[in-house]
Amino acid sequence: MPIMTYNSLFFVLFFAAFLLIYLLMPKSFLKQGVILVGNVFFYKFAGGLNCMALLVAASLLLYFCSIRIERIYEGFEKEAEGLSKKEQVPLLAAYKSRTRKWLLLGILLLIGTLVYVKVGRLLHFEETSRLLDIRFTRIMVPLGLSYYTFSAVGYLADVYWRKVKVEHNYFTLLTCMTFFPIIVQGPISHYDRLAKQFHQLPGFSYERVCHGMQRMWWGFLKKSIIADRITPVTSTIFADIYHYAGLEVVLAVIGNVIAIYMDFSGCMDIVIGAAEAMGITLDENFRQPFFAKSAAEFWRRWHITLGAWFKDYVYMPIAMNPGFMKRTAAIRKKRGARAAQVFSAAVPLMIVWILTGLWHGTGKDYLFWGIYWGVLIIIETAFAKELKAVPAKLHIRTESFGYRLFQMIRTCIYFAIGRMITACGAGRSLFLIIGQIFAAGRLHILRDGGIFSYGIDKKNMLVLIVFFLIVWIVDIMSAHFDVRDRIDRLPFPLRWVIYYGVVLSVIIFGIYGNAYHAGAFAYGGF
Amino acid sequence: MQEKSVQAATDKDIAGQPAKKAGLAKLWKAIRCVVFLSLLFYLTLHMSYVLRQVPERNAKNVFPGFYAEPDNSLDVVTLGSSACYQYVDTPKLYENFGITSYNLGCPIQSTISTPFLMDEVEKTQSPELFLVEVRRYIKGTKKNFSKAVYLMTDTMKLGLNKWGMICRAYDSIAERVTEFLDIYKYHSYWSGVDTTLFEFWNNEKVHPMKRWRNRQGVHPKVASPVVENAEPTSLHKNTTRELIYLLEECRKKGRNVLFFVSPYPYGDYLPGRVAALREIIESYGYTLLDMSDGEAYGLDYSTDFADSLHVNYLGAEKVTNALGEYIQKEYNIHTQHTPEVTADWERYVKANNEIVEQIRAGKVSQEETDNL
Repeated sequence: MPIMTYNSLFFVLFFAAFLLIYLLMPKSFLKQGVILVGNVFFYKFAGGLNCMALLVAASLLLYFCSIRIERIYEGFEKEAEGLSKKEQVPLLAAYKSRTRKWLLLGILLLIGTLVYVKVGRLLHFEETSRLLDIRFTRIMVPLGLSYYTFSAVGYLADVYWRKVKVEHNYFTLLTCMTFFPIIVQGPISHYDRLAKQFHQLPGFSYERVCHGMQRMWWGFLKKSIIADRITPVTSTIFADIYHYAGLEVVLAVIGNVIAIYMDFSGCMDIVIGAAEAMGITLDENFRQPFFAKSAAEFWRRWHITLGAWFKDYVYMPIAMNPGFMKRTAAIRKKRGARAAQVFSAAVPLMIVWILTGLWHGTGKDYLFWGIYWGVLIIIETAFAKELKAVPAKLHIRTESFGYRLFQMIRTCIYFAIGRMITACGAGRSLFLIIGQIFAAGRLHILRDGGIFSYGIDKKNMLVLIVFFLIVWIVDIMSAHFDVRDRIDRLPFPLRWVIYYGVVLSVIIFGIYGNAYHAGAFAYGGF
Repeated sequence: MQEKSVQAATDKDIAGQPAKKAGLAKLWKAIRCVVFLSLLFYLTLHMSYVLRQVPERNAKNVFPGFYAEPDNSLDVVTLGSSACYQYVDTPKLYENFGITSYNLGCPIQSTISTPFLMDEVEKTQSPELFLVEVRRYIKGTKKNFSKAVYLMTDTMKLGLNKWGMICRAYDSIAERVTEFLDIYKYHSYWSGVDTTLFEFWNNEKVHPMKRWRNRQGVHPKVASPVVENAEPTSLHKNTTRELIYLLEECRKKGRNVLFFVSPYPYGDYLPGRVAALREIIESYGYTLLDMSDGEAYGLDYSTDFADSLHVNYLGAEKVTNALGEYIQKEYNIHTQHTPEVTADWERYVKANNEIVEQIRAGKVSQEETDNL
């Protein structure tokens, strides 16, 4: 268990010391230097410096490939001088095919490492190599490899598409790519957006530091008071699902949904807050996902940066691929516009969702999970017109609160089913869980106090409910106005009561430390 | 011309005012920030004093009891493992010799802690003598025997002595931080907090027995044969290192320290190790009082032991009397205490005598006296 996790005391102390030194630096390049040292320190205690070594090597590859692509394009620029736009097209195509080699080399090596690690985990390479004592086959799993790989591939593709300027400073590239707040769980950042900020890191701002701290502690609250209270219980139930039934399983599923949201969004609050205190704005990864009215909208609100990455670098290249467009046109001719519309939506979406599933984990469960979401979203996208007509036929007012509530609950159910697919990891997890739900009622646990015998006693349940309601209310408020702005406008004694309330609640009611070995963040294994 | 200069002065005032205001606003923010963090630190620290009392209440009350003693009111402070608070009968030491003392001991107290505990004692007290029971030096303590350290550090006030002790006991930074900021370990006991525990808000609460434990019961033992002029045998290497560190510190700080071996039916290894200890201790100009031959001090092994390692209240009185006589003879302690301190100790002696009477009459159990 690494001693440096975002919800550890060690991280809080490290970050406090880091921030102090960082803010004392008068120049942007000095701040960048402090960040790089911070990254190394973070890696040392979070995953080991070996992991950092691999990322340094990968950054060198990225740097080299991007510079090569730029040089080739510079050659094109020179040769294209004085040529008309029409004449430039074949020339550019020729140069592009040369740059493609470097793009493919970079992507293959980056994705190849990721696949090797993921497949290696699946095939238990480590155990095999230990048995055979073949050292070179041992897999070094770098911290946050998935997030790193996605950012790197995105950057390389943007360089290839000439959307971004090439980074000539290797240390800026390395600092950005290994930026410690985002390396474990994201958000997956667009390199250019991050690099622009790294080139001009702002000076000290009291408001920004305050806001950053507020956000971080809000994240600690979600993670340590709510998520870590629920996760051990739900994990125990899903690990031994045959012993539980009816209401027990239903509560475990609900708990699992709440825990994953609190865990992941809590982590995002911590990392986005940490970056904000440093004057760096990261992309948001959550926007009240359970208020979404459809599956597609849910994924525009949940893990937003992952969805955006797949859209930019998988969906769009497929959808805009000339071969694919030709195929769609052929279907339109042969089978009509409706079939072409379904085809053009379904193919890229299904590819995206299968890849998303495999990104989340290797195995049948995750493949099935990807297909499940793919099918849901394809139905919603391809049959949007038909689905919209249903409420009208049933004389339901779509603007009514009741209908919106129904849509939100439906989204929650979609998500819960998705969670059930992977919860037990047995290959047929969903059917197992549903089977157990209907195996018995077990409603008596509400009457005889059995509900408190699963690891959350009465007092802890009360804490859980109170803080869940607080987070829920704040989430509702956030959908309508900027909560932090409102807090800023409160008289300072009242503000302090809120701050002390949050910080002391985390310190006292949080699940961390020796008495409880805090679990790693749910999205930290990617 | 005059108009121009008036205008310029006004402009300057207008331009200067916002700058001044901004400066004041910054200062106000900085002050607020410091106050906020200080208050947060205060609340967290004091909550940790309360929370740490939830498990093992008695074992945890070692330091709060010591801190609650009036400043400069103790003549002697005893350090050591469980023998220390079961052999040195603090009420008898006062009743018979006028010596005020406190047993700052805990089960299996690590040898690592002794110099740091002395420093901590000297923050509020100026004892004329430190009495060190050496059982752990004889037996040896593993460096990372965490319980031997945390039983003391957990109730210490936050400070350099606590940090120093932890650093000597633990190698990893994570362990050190966790042990130092002990709310990390104890926050999960929040559900066990009741209003009575808020008495520990300042980590100071009078120990009704000044960390003295009246042991009851009789566990008949046979005295080990006395070995004259034993050859020194080697001590545990950690123990030797810790002892030398302690002796150097004590010599440097000019402390009076009396080391003593408490009597119990030891094994064959003891005489050789006592000889080795004596050699080291005396080389620094300090004394080791070897009381391992308990019969020489009036102990009756068939009636004076509560278990195989510790004497009962009858045996403790005999050991304490012998120690008191030695201390008065060699160190001549005659401190004048304030009337409040004297009255407090008189009350304490009276209360203890009543308890002893009740023990003799079989009216009070071990658990009841332990939970006083």
